[in-house]
Amino acid sequence: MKTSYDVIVIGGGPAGLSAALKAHEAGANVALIERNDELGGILNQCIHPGFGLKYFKQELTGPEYAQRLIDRLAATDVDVLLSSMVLSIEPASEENGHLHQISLINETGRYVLGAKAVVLAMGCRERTRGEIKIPGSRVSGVFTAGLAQRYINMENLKPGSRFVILGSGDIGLIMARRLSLEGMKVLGVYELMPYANGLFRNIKNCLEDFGIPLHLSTTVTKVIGKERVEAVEVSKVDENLRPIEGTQEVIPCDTLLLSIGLIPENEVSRTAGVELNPATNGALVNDTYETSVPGIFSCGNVLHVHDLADNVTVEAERAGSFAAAYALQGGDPAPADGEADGACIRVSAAQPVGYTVPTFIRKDRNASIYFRVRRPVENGVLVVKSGETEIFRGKARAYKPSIMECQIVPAKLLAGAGDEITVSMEEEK
Amino acid sequence: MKMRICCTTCPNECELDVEVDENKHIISAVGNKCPRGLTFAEKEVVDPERVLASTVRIDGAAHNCLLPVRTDAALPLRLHFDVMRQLAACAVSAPVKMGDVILPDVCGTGINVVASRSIA
Ligand SMILES: Cc1cc2nc3c(=O)[nH]c(=O)nc-3n(C[C@H](O)[C@H](O)[C@H](O)COP(=O)(O)OP(=O)(O)OC[C@H]3O[C@@H](n4cnc5c(N)ncnc54)[C@H](O)[C@@H]3O)c2cc1C
Repeated sequence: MKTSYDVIVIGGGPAGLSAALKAHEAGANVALIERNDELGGILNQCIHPGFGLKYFKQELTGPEYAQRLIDRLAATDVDVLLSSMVLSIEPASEENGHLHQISLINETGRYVLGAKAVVLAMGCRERTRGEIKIPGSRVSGVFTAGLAQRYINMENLKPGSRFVILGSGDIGLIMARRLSLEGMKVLGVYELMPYANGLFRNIKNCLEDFGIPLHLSTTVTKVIGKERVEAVEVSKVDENLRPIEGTQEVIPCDTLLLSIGLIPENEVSRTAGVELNPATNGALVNDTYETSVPGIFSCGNVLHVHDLADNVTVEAERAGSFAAAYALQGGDPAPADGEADGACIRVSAAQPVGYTVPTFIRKDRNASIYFRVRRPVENGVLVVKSGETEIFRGKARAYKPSIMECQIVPAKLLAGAGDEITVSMEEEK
Repeated sequence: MKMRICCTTCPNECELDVEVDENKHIISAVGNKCPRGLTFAEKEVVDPERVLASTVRIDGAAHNCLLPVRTDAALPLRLHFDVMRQLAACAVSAPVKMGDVILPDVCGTGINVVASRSIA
């Protein structure tokens, strides 16, 4: 193991693997640090098909998608540090020889590695019961859906027998099918919002195929039990998402699975002083996926929650190649922080568009703007404005919060824009 | 009868609204962007097929006690529980390579269950 590298990638999921591969291809010497004892990240437990349709042009399972990247990485001289957890990053400065200082621990001790550029690819963790404050007993039998997924698909453990699932995001839906196939009973999926949060094909293939009911505008209002969950109370909610008195129903069950969202794991990013975007809980980045700290890049679920691994790979490849360029050229090849040459544009989102990534783009190159709507839009027209001037208008179509969208805005339309643009949506009847 | 179908042939995932008669023939279909959507819908109303993914026990591996597996083609949905029972009785030994056949020709369909990853 060397003590310094051109590029250090933190996290060995599809984002980290793809970024490391691209940085290596660009000629950088690269290390990848992963806290688990194997590479692949969350994909190892996502044993279902539905990955790779875009990137590999083939429907793969999560492990197959990861294996392809792992096999490619094994054919390179990228140093892989497994069972090693990064604790903090001290950004490059005069005192530390212009190398970002990465502190990590593993079974053999604590180490500090230097890197000219860093790619943050630490993924997400799941929101828990504490985050939505479900009242009732503090009993065993309440799991996040991803944890139950890991138990069943990797650890050969059975989390319960009779399940209620809260949240209709893809993880909850995928788990409803998986539990059913393994002979466990799923009594129903309950969703706070008046619409389902997962992909339509998952509603179809994971719930309808198995006759599992989906209850919209309904939430769990109490957990009942002494030591183990014995039942949950569910209630209908009004248009302000408040439980409606008198609609309570008690569902006997022994396990409650929560599929209520993901939070980017940015604790390490914070130690480096990386500025975060409150709308995504990920870093504020420019169009090379560089964060507010020069030479530190971010991609994948740690940047914003992705529903498709394919999009993660595309984003991470860009981050990896720009990280390599930064390391090899000793600085930003095309800085997008605006101060340098006045070619920078700040992108903001207006409702119903919830956020955009990146936040900073350049006038002199095409911009791929990723965004999500906050609520379903039947017939929306994407509009990009610079002040009052409209610089881009899309075609009317449906948008869903469960699908991350990408709009490419060509450089020729950006050339005349001011230093701020807004991405919004007009709704047609 | 009216049905809503989600074609999973490509990433577009077109949603089709189809109307079928009592012989499960499609009378009308709207929403598909290409002809493959109709082919998918014809299958879907008569005998829906899905890729089945699950796990089998693996012995002798350093980090893993389960091996993820999948069918190498879409398998009729009506056979999924049958194949699940066969997989429950199945165990393999490390090492395994992605694509290795774990259960050949399940239920006489010509479809194999294969390893989804390599385990050393
Ligand atoms: C249940 C579920 C179903 C999904 N279904 C689909 C699907 O059908 N199709 C599809 O395309 N996508 C799907 N996705 C989405 C896709 O899997 C994710 O978007 C993608 O895996 C995210 O990749 P990532 O590399 O950013 O994060 P991860 O895969 O989470 O990888 C992050 C890695 O970083 C490591 N790490 C974190 N912190 C540290 C640290 N401090 N030091 C060292 N290592 C660290 C973690 O251990 C982990 O290995 C699904 C996701 C889930 C959870």
